Amino acid sequence: MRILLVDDSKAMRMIVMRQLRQIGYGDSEFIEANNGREALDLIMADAPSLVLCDWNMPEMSGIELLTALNTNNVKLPFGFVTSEGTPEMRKLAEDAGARFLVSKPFTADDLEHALAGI
Amino acid sequence: MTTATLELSLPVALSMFTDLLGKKVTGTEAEPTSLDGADGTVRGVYMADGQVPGAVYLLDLELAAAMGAALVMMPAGLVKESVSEKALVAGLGENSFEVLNVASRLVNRAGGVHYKLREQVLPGAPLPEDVAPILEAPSQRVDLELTVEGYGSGRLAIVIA
Repeated sequence: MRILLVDDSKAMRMIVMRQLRQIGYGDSEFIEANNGREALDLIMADAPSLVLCDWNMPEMSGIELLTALNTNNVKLPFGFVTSEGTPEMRKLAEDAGARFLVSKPFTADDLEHALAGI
Repeated sequence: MTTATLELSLPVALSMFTDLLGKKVTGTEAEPTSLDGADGTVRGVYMADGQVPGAVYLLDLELAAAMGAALVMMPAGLVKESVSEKALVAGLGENSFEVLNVASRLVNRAGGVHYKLREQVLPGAPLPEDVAPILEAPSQRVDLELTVEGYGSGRLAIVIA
């Protein structure tokens, strides 16, 4: 499995990667992007199997990335991993086709639950 | 007001930090020290149920730097440099923030008060006024002496309002 981690914090990308390894994604290939713009370029060049994405980032936010993917008719499992998860954000994410929104701090169990069925 | 010892499972705490940092973390409970307000202390301020500050984590600089460096596999030499500079160098502050963020798990209990990190106060910066009373008269406190394999050791105090 090829998993794209999108977050402007390298620390958060490492945390998510470690937790994914703990819940059985150790054999996956992890690729990383600092913001939505970088992620969009990576996805358009070679789409990953799964995208885990922060919400607030410079250049292009997570929801802007998801909207751009929809505009380009790119369909792939996409989930948010973000600091805040207000009802408005969850609604926006769901309406744009996100599979889940996990808010920080989260446990490996939270991620496993969110990823169940993907 | 007396300060009770915060009930904390040391094995759970060590396991959480080991999983988070990708490096073995060992440690013991320790006697309370004067981390409060000392130069070089990194402080995490947590809101209780989103209302008021309800908990403070205090880490000495070596431990904060060690955890921050281990989190993203930065060189261990940055820990000594941070201690020497009395500051978290080379972006370790951001990493330390994320460690403090995840470490709220140590005090969050199902059905209990929910603590969420509000801010990290770096060495030399004054503690916000609304936080001082927690350190002056805490209801619970626990002190740990922790070692991050290959990076360094130090004290962590968890103080509850």
